[in-house]
Amino acid sequence: MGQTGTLDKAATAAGRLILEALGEERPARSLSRLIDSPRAVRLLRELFTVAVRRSFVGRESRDVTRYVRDLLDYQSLPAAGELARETEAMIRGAIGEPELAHGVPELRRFELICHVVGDLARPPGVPPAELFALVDQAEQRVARFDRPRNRVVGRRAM
Amino acid sequence: MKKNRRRSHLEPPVTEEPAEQPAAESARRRLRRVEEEPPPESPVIGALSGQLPPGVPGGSGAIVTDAGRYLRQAARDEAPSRFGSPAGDVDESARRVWEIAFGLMVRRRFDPEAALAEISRTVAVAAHDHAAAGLALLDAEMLVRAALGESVPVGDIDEGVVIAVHLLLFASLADELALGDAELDAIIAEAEEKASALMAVCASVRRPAPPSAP
Repeated sequence: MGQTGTLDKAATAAGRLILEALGEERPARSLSRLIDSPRAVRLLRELFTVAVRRSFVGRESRDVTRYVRDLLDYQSLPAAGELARETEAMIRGAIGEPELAHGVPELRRFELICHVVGDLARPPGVPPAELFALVDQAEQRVARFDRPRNRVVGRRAM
Repeated sequence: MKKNRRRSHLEPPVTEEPAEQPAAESARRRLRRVEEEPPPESPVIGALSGQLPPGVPGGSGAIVTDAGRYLRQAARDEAPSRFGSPAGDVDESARRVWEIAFGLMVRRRFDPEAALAEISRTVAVAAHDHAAAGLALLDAEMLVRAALGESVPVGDIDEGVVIAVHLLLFASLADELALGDAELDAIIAEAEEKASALMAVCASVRRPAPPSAP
């Protein structure tokens, strides 16, 4: 696991669950098992936004296409069709083109978030301190957006 | 006799085959004949076609196919369907004309290294202009980028979506470039000519050479 140093630094139980999953051998699969925890799923969505923005904002948009191809190839998933387009739509949706991801079904969104977060935020590629900062920022976003004054009526928590 | 001679032209030369049972040999010949014959082409009666009419040569600069005329209507917002795909059947040659015309138009509008933001903006405008068709933005963008030669994931896009993107993006780009009638006709006619040449090559690859005259 190797995350004991950062596990106790996460403020929330959901944060600790995610850190634990990221420390597993197959992070994407471990993250996908959190689907029954609404708080973990909510936090995971914000972690996806934070991780994607830190990785891709300011870079050439075609880097996203290349990254998706590499990621899906590495995961032995089909990289030339709909899955690749949906993954690109999710990533570009998080960095300023939200309309692209409107057609992606909810369950598929969750699967793709697990794959991308499991890749972008997995240790040892991301040092523990940086990983903690990512989760902390995601927790702050959850707290900010879930304040009563910021809540969007009818918005479904994933 | 004549049949045997014809088949001898189609078959590859056979060198010293061992003697076989007559029944097995004839069954094998039947099987080989079935394999050699190209699959019967079954044009859909009344389908919109992109084939040049018999006796009409391409390259005249005028639109001569039903598919070309339909594309022109779509570009001028006069097509009967506002959802991209025409209501009736469409044959392979028509799809080919539209795909080639789309590629010509895309490459006229964008450089191969065009900024993605510029492409996205054009696609968004097209989707807005043809909102009734409900174009999928990323599918359309990927088809544009593929037409520019980029390696992008365009697998398993539905055929109807591809046709809608080809027709409606063509229309939108023609509008964006403010093409006059003569320029528009020239692009469509060029697409018809290229499609016809491509279909001829495909047909010659599929079909074995005819037997030479005795």
